[in-house]
Amino acid sequence: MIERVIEDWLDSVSEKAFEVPFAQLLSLEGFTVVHMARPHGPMEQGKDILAFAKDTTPFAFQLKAGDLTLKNWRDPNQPLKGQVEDLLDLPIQHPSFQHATEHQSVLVTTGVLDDTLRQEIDQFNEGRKAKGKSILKVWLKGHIQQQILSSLSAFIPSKLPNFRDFLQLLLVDGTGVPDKEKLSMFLRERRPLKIKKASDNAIRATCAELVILSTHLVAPYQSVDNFISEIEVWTMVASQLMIIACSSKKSSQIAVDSLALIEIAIWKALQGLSQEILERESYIEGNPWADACVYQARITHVAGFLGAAVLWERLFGEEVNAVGALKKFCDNNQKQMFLWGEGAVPSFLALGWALDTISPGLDMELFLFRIIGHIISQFNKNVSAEKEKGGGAASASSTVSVLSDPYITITQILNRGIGGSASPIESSNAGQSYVLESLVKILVNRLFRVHLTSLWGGIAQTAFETYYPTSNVSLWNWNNGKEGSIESRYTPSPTSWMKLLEETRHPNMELLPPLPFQGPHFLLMMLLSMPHRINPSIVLALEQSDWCGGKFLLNSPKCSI
Amino acid sequence: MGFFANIPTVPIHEGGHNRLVREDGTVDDTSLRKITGKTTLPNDPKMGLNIANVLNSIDAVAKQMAQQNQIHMFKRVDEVTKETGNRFDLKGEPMTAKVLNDMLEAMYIAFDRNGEPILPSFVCGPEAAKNLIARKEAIESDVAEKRRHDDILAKKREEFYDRESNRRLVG
Repeated sequence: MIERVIEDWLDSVSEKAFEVPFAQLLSLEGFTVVHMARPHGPMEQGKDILAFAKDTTPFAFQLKAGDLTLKNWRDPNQPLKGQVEDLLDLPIQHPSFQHATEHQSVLVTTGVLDDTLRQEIDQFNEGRKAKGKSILKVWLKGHIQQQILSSLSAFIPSKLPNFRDFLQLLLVDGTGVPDKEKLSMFLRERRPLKIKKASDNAIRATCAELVILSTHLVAPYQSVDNFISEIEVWTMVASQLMIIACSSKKSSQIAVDSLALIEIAIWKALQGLSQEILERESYIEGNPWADACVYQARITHVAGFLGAAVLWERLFGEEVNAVGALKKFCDNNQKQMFLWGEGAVPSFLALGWALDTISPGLDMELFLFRIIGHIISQFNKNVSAEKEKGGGAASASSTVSVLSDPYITITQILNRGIGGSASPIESSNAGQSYVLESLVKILVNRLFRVHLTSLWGGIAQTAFETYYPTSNVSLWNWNNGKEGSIESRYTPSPTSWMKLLEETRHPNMELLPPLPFQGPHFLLMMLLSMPHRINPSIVLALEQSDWCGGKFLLNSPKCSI
Repeated sequence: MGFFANIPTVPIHEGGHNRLVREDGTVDDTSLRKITGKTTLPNDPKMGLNIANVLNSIDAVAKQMAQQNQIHMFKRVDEVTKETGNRFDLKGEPMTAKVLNDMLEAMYIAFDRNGEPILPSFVCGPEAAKNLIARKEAIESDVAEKRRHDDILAKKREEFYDRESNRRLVG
């Protein structure tokens, strides 16, 4: 069965989508991948992936999807022969290959070669051999399939329910949003419990398996250019890799190699998203009558990820026109943004941080004051409802307008909106908030004391809700079950501004998931994909980041924790 | 669930216990408690199976769980009042206006925007409720305690406003 799944995937995968799993397979075979082609990244003539073999021989790979024929070889517009000659003859220009004079060249395809092309390449290689030049190696579908199968050797004999979960996640409609809870559970089960005691090979195999399985799980979204869902799936995988990376120094070195590939995959999806926004005139999907139910929530979600695209663009200094896309999107849609629950707050924050970097306005502050105003006014509504009932506690029905907590997903909210769910979303969240403290801390960081003072009565009546894990690494998990605790904290009366400032400058590290490398960009993706992970320490780490001078992990020396 | 059904419920999605940190810095830790129920669905072939039976069995479990929840909440109230000393034992004596005022005096009372008190609910057993209703006239006719009641509320209002006005940013 798994063989069939892999074969189907190889038959349908695009060249672009094939890069990450292929790079991961190389890594598993002992290669050190040092470069993957990026949109608008430095040009590598005819070379999609650069790597060193175990014996430090430099390798250059060119990737193709599907069957190749003589027609491709002689294509008048983009002859494969010309690309192959570039691959073979143009020296690698990359800082890691400064001393390399020659490299091995491999043409990789997810399909097969027809007989005529095979003969042509044989003759081509004979001719080169005669001239004392390096020859072309070709890796075909069968070879890749074997590599994938061996990378999944731990998964294939696993229990049937695991395989059933895998198929369920694989067979989703790519136009929707991923079931991140289920996805997270599936990926978490692939991670050995005793990773600290695992050998290097076992850790490498685990990381490879996570990435290879995920390339299948991300395929339904890639096939319909659903960039945001693709990013969310990659983020869930990255979260599990973060846990592995943070378990020990040796794990860190191995897992960061895989994270580097996911970083590129997310970056490409962000670029795809920006491109789509620039090209589209309308953001309605399908039937407008039906889309009206979800349109504003989707606009909010997209705005958050576009904000992330701008911040990543700024961090890495590689222009993908995310700023242009965001400006165009905001001009037409910013007013459509919808605070559907506390789970929407990260989208507003990401957009706010992005707008901070491109315009000197007060967009972020306006978002913050509006959201805070909404949260504290809910409390007043709730008190009024109590009074109307003649005292006693408010009933659930009196708090329907209250923002749902961030654990409630957009899918649950939308299902409820269109009558598809009887889930108890209306349970009261009034008088408490998982996001309020984070929003307040941003304003404190920006020294908005006077404005905060005017709202403080309402803020102080609202309990700050925070999830405390037993270890900060667990924050990378979607949910930790009964592990950890929820704290409901009222701010002291009166509250010291100086103390707030102090807390803002020294966030609680217990609430900050550890990172095995520099850079806030994965934290931002985590916040957008797992909104219930919002807490003041994560938000302040993002708020205080200058979003510049970052390097792609593939280009960085590997760091330890 | 009776009165307890009116208490707002808040889902706890993660974590094994709750920690409440009050504005004065005092802390209250509450662990989650498991509530279970058991039911059986008759499978007598002569009776067959119908949705009413299924719903009844679900109701039976719900009742068991509600009952456990109620008992748990009374226990918790008992624990907390034992801890804080905030309890009044009538020792079999009838309820009086004085005792009601003493209870009110010991409690936290919130006020709405119009300065009206949000008074607590009185939870008691059916027998005690009957006695209380029977004594309603006597309680309400105690002029001295009525005055005291108004004074207590005035004092509580003042304390409430003091407390609320203290919710500010300083320093």
